[in-house]
Amino acid sequence: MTNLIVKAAAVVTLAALSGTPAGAEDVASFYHGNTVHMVVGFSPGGGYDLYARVVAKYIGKHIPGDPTVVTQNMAGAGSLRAAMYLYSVAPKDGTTIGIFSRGMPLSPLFKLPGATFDPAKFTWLGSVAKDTITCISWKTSPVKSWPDLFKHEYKAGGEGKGADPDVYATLIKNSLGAKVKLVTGYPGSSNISLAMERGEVDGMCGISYSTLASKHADWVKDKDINILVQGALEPDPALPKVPFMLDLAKSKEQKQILKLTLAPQAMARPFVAPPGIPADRAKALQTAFMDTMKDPEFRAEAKKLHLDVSPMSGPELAGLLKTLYAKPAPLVQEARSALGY
Amino acid sequence: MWREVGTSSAMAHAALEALLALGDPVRLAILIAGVLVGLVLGVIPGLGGVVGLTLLIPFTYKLDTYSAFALLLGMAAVTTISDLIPAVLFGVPGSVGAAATVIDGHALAKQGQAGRALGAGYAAALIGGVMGALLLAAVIPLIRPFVLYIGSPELLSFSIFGMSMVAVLSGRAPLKGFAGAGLGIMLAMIGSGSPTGNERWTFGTIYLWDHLPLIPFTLGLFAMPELAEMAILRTSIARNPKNLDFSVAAQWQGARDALRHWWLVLRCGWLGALLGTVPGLGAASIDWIAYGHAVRSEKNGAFGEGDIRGVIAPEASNNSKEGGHLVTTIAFGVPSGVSMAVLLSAFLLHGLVPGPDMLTKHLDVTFLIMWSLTIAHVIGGAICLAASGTFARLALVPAGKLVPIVLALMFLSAFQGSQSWGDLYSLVIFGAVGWVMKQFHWPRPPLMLGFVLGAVFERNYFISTEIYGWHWLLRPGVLVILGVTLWVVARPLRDNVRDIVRTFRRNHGLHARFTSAAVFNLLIIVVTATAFWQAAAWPWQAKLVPQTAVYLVLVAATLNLAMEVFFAPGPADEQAHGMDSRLAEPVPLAASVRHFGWMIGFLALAYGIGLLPALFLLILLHSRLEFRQRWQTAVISAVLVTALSWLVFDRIFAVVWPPSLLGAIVSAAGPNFAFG
Repeated sequence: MTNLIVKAAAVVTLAALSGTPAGAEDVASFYHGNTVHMVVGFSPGGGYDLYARVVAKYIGKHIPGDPTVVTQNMAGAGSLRAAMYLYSVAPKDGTTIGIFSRGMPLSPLFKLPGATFDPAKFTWLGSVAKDTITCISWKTSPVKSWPDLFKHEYKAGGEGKGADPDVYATLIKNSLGAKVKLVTGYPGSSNISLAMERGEVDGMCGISYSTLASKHADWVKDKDINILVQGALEPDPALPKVPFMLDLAKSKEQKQILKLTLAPQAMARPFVAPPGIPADRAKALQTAFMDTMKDPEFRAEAKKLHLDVSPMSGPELAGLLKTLYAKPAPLVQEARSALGY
Repeated sequence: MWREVGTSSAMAHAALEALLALGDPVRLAILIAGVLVGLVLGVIPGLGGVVGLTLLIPFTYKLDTYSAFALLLGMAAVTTISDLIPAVLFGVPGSVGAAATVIDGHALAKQGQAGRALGAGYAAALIGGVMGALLLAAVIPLIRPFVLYIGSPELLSFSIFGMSMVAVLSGRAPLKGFAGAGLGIMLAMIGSGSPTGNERWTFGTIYLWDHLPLIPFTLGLFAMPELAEMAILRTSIARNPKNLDFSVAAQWQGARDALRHWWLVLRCGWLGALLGTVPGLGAASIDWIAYGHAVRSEKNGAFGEGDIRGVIAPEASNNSKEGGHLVTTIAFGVPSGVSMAVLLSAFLLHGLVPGPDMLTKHLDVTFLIMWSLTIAHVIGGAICLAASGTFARLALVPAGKLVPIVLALMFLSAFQGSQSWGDLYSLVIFGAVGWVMKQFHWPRPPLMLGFVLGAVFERNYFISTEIYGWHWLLRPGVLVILGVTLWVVARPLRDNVRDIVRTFRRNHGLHARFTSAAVFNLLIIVVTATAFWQAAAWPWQAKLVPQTAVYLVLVAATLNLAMEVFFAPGPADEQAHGMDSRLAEPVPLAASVRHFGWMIGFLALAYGIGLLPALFLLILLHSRLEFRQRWQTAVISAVLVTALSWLVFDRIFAVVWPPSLLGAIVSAAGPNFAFG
């Protein structure tokens, strides 16, 4: 019911305002003196939180009316809680935006429990960065390169079902046939990396290259780790010598499956607004997002924090999701089992 | 390279350089500013290092590295000092690490010795914190090898060691203690974190998906019963206001107590620092381990009834553990908790990469961090000591003025657990559980220990057996830790068994007495059996630990029930450490029901009109109708507390308030209004 009213209102407004410059003024007067809440699906301290805080710091001045932007953490269920909040509870007037995990947009496709939202209805603002996931091993492990993954058992640390280290370790095992033994139950990726350093496990999968390059710059520099394989939709220019997952596919179908499972890397830091917000404000938010990405001050600060900026716009992101959701059901099912869901 | 820089002269040089850098008056002022913020945050349960850091980090953008860390650590270091104030006065742990302090600290406050308890706590915090930091500074070169040595099997052994403290903390009610520990482990299993990814006991809610949040659980279990008792008995915190002592002398007496027990302070300070360096053990168990250690090792204890050593031990460890956390964060980039994770982003912001470099190339920063921690402890401890007389006076305020306000603040604090409705329900549910446990003399610390260590045990059990099979038991570290465990608990365990056997042998005459205590016991058995039945369908890995816990509860609770019904012991045998002192007075049932009725009414109201407006009405009506305060008093406290809460939680910390019916109507109407 509420939704209907909002939609009707949005349609009416759109009809009334389309093509008239009055729209921008209306948006500006709405946001002027107003507060926009940035909901982060994770607790403070992680990558998503950091991205959200930097975007929150600069996006305000690119939204007409210059609203104050306040960051709020809403951790829970791997950001599913925030996704559901943004989808069905948050005010649908453009005063709430947010970020959740990159895997979240595809979780209804893979029928993950609790993910009952329709991603096509979200107002996508865009993604700040692409990312590349890697599988790594510690220097003392017998597994030193991709071919070694077929000779020696690779004990990979995991956090629990559905977490990135588990998902991608399962992927290279199920889909590419690597000899992976998943040891799961570590409370976080940094605990896995510690277990790796002490030789309890050989390494871990699903750690993104951006994390390696910032938090573990010394590992990369001192060659403490071997980067075994990289996964994304395109190879990372910073990793010219590391095998690229899509190149390792043995058949066209397998490549399709890998593409589907790796798609979240193309929208690694997805920002959204709730469904059904007034069209002019949605547009203003999307524009503000992309303007922020071009803002030299934002870029300077991101650089200082070792945050990669390789943006994708909201409409582009929505388009990508549309093609992914159009994949045939058997393929989706294959991808689902490759990921171990 | 590593050894080269790690030489003692290089270390001394770095240490001195860092100290001189901190001596700069501006930096010292920044540090003190951080300390003041931290002290305030520590007093409010639910707020602490995490929110402080997220609040302060943006201010460090423009500061140099030294000043930035002086500010951040000045703040983070002292939240564990001021958390003592609500713990002693209201039985409300100001941070998770102060839960064990509540037991004896609050008992002392009830006896009118709040000033002494605070003085002893601060002194222990100060000395423990400083000595812990010094120990860590002295062993910096050994820290990486030590932490690298602690693998999953060692963590597993540590969790067993921690849980074995149940035998010490159950006092003379061992069966109840074991059942409680089993229940705690069961509660820790709630969520989707099972080895197979199965959801366990979540009842289909997202709230329970991750796990039951610690804050509302702890507040419910320990603080709510104290508050309920005050409300029902209509008394001030100090039960007998005549023998109160607020003089400066009382605080100094407390401080002298800490000095007199300097060896205990040192032991617990070092214990906290060392356990703090173990990533994955969790902050919430360390204070209990220290408390258990004191109970086990100190002679002639009156623990649970207001033994000053019950304040000294957990406070010393609570403060030194922060240094341990920090070192692991610095040396490995492995944060032991959310606040350390936030601190990591501050490192990156200032161009520092945590890791071995921090112990060599950036040793000066590491030392600066240790110095900031130390100096912040000294300043924070001094400020608190000076102010504790004022705080201690709160013990005189009558229940009618205090209870409505503290109750309201407790709801707000519990809500910081995960900022969802479930936190409020948890608070009330575990508040009621804690209250009933207290009435029937069920010790609560074992429940707490099972809860904070259950998940650590489970995850490390599976990792260890997956990697090492049964050989994990043969690792030297494991043998040492398990050996110490055996040495610590052998005697208490033997005493426990002897107690149980003695009770059963004492009385052979069959005289069944079905008291309300037995009904509660039966209820526990029924709930546990239901949980067991629910778990039947899970895969074996997912049900191994929970079902083991279930068996423990069923066996212990059934034996205890038999004892309650057929062998009812005299009241003198009911003593249990950390549970209740003999001070606990029998309480009329009707009054208890009415007290919890207020809370349920509050929840309903909050659901209708929102949390803050409901809070306002709660304070107003509770003060006026329940406690017969004058309207004037009621209005003033309601307005002040609500306004302050709004300022702190809404304006400064941007809390996401729980959805309410009224809020839904307003926000649904919003867009239409906007469109005119």
